[in-house]
Amino acid sequence: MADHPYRRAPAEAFWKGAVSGLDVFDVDPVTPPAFTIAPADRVASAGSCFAQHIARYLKTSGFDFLVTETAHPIAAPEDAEAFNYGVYTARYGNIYTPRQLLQLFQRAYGRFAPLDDAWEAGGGRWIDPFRPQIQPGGFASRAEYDADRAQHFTAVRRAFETLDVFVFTLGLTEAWRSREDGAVYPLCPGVAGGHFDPARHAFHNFTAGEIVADMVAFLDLLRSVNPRSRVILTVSPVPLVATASGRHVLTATTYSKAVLRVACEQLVGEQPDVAYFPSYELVTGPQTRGRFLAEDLRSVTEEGVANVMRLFLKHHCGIDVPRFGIEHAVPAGDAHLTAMAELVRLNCDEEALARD
Amino acid sequence: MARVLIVGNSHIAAVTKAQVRRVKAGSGADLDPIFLNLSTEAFRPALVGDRINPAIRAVFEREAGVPVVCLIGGNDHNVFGLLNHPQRFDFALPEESAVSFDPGAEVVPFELVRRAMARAMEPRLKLLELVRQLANGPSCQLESPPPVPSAAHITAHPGAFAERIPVLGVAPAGLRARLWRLHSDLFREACARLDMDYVPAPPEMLDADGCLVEKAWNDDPTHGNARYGERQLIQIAEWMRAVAPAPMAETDTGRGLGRGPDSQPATEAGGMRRASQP
Repeated sequence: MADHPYRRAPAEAFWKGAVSGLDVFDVDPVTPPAFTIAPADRVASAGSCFAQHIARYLKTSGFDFLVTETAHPIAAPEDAEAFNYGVYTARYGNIYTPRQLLQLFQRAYGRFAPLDDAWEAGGGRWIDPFRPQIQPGGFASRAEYDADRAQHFTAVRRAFETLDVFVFTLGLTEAWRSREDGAVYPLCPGVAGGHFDPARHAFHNFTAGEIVADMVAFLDLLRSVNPRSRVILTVSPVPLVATASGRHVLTATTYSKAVLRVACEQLVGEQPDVAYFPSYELVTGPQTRGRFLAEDLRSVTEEGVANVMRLFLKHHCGIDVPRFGIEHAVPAGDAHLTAMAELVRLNCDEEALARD
Repeated sequence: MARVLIVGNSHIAAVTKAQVRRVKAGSGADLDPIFLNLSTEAFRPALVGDRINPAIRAVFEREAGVPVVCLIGGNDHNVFGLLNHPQRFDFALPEESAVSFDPGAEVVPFELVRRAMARAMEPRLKLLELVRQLANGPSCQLESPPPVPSAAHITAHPGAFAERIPVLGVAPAGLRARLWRLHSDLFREACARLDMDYVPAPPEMLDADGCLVEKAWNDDPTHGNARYGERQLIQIAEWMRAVAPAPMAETDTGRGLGRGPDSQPATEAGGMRRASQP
């Protein structure tokens, strides 16, 4: 029998033995990572909505998940979450494209100031064009918006400068950007604030080359403030909710994910300390038979997220996690408020019973 | 004399003291107040689960139809901001056009502070709702007194906060005034929902910065004094004239006026004081 390269190929090189012949939970497409994450490493996260799941699991898996923009302790945990504190490392909301990530860095360091600075929402409220859904109803005043954004940029800088590992989930290639200065919006103006103006806002579908160039530019900037940083790239398995490309949303999704996947492969091959983790393949691969998608065929089920994160923790962190074995911590209340409430009660008791 | 049931927590003290003074001075006969002090043992706890203490209910049943003036709660803003939080914070009210935030403080979104305050006030707002249900006549809630602007005064009269003030320091008056206004807005909204009147703090008791004028400072950090209470009694009488004109018309004719020093408050039953009845 003639010899050929496939004779010596490992088992995972063969579809039958590595995919179709296995239980979905035994399919493990993760190749040995270029680096691992130590328990003391500060792990930061950003990206499209799937990145929220990654952040959620990292926070509760014994890692030093880096959060540089926390809610003030007076806030109840459910309110803090509604205001997007702790969802990611800083309160930047979803970052769908590398251009958005690049511009976040540039804005935080004062290297880019988009002309579209703030959107007035009526009733004195203000919306941040670059995180339009960061808090319910937007900001209560321009003063609050300006102060919060300054704090946010400080938190973003602290994140980039102190992280050890940055997990970035690439979500989309489609975006809307300003015709005036190229500022990229996370959502089309008019969807969650602002007003869509075809004279000022243009659709753009990033190419693989643009994605790579933006990521390289970002990595250069990140390393300029944090030379030891390492980066893990993933592609979100969540399909586009809608496309503006003129294509069918299914082919538009396929194109978008393919571009992002190609870009990741190129970046891993060309950039040091950059790894790829196959979240996309683990959720959308044929081995799942759609099992990890919810009824809307778009959302990822908790089971699917757990499977992704089980393998992430196994390969990148050396942690064996049973299925659904991760407990979520319950944040404690504000000790100062509790103590003050008791003192106010005591003081009021004294006054209420006082005689003139 | 106009019968009125005045129910409240610690801020009832200023009004009670003022009525005692009135009676001692031989005035104050326009009102016939029944004071239901919720901080006294007989009425504690005011809430038993989701229900009101039966002793409180009994008073309302006995005084059925009498106008009800509430001074419920009124100090939750001090929980948040009488003293500096270990993690100092500040915020802006939506209506503020120019804000100078506390340097070094974390700016917290207004809506987040509002939600936190509303959560803290839930027991007080629940009590207000239950009292409103018991009151089958007109009812109102008096706004709690604005904050004392002077950190020196608070430090000199620290009350229960004596140990913490040296550690944390008194919070900036601007923050305390904002917290008070937010707290008041939440009570005002609750009153609107409950179809109750809301009576703002006497305007002349506020300085230009929205804090309590010095003549109304009490010898403690968080309450108004008897002079403040005196002004509230006038507000109560005005409110009574607006919502229950008949009894006040009776007063206007002169009947019930001119009580002498011997008409000092005498009746107390577990914190229920009829300040103008011998």
